[in-house]
Amino acid sequence: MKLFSYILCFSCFYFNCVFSQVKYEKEYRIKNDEIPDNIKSYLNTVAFKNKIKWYKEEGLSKYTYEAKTSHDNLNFSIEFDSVGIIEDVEIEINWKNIPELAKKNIELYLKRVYQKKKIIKVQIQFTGKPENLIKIIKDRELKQGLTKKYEIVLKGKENKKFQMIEYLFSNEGKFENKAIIMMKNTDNLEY
Amino acid sequence: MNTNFKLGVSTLFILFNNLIFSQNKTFGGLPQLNINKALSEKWRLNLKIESRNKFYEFEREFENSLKFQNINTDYSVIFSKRIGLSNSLAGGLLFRSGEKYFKRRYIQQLTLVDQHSFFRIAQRFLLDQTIKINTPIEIRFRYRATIEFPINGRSVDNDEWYLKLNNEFLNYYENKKYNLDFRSSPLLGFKFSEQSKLEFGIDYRNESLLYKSSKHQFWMCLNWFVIL
Repeated sequence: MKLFSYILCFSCFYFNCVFSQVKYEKEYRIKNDEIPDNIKSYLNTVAFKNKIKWYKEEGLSKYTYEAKTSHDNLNFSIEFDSVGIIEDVEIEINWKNIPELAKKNIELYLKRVYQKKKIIKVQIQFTGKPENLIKIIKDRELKQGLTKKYEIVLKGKENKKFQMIEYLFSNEGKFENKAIIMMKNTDNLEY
Repeated sequence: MNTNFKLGVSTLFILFNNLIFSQNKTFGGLPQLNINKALSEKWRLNLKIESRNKFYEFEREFENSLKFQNINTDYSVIFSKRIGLSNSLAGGLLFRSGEKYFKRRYIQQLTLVDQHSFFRIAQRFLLDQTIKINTPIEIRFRYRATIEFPINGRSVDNDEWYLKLNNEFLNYYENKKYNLDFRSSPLLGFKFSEQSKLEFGIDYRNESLLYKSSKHQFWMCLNWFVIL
């Protein structure tokens, strides 16, 4: 029985390390009137100066709504689940703006994995209760009750193979998750 | 009228003046079937059949010709190797059969594709050598920049429309003479599935930009890209 438990634990750990998800999403632009009313009323309390672009993202088993806008000179991406409950708020930042300790840990991790890499996009991801998430959209200093993580999209060469990957690191820069971004076919751009 | 507007209008007039008043215009169709097959993780094969058909030609005043004519058909075989994430090196052969001639063309190309958040940009550098019996060899260097962006959303998914714009400069050298062509084609595409895409639009070609009088050609394109 003990041996079985060891094997089970080892298998879970092994599979978690070796396999990474493949990011499958179909997304398309939708109009303002296709957004559930509870999402509209939730965001109504924020005075967005720029237009919000709405997208619907369809994954393999669920769909989400995503609002993209530029607010206070930052690019925001706000994601809601299919019933209109906020899931996370992502704010695009520069690589150099990640705090030193987290950046050092992320760099160390990526250095071990990749021979070559290029950072494409960095976002801070906030998750938490809806009443706390709305505060971070209004004021970046109001982070109480929120979990902060870093989402990084990069192009990297691992085992002689190039891939585009989306990583998720904790606030301290510890690896949490990764998903391979499937590249679209380029035949119609080549011939 | 503001100065920038005047400058813009003048530039457009200079650019299109030659096109509007030139009497050397050709209109036709250019359907293309493009078959692609992955041979391994890095190697791919591209087979292309393209037929050039002239519908209408405006040569001199009062001398317009309205008749269907199949000018030529191209058959090409190109092998490509992926380098990096989405770039490729390719080489192959094209056979062109016309009414009274047969040409073969050797092709070498490098394509660099960049995926951005809302669009894709591709740059193609192509060198080719055309051989025809009893004719000097023709060497061309082509540079094409392509931008593709989805009409809906941030990437082109299945059952979605997209826009594609090609701009190409062709430098060619034949019989000790250098010349330059310009091509531009705005295309509207539809992605049926990962295996099938259809594009249609206009392919505008301005032949002989430098030493001879310009020939303007407008080809209606219908490109079908299939993956086996």
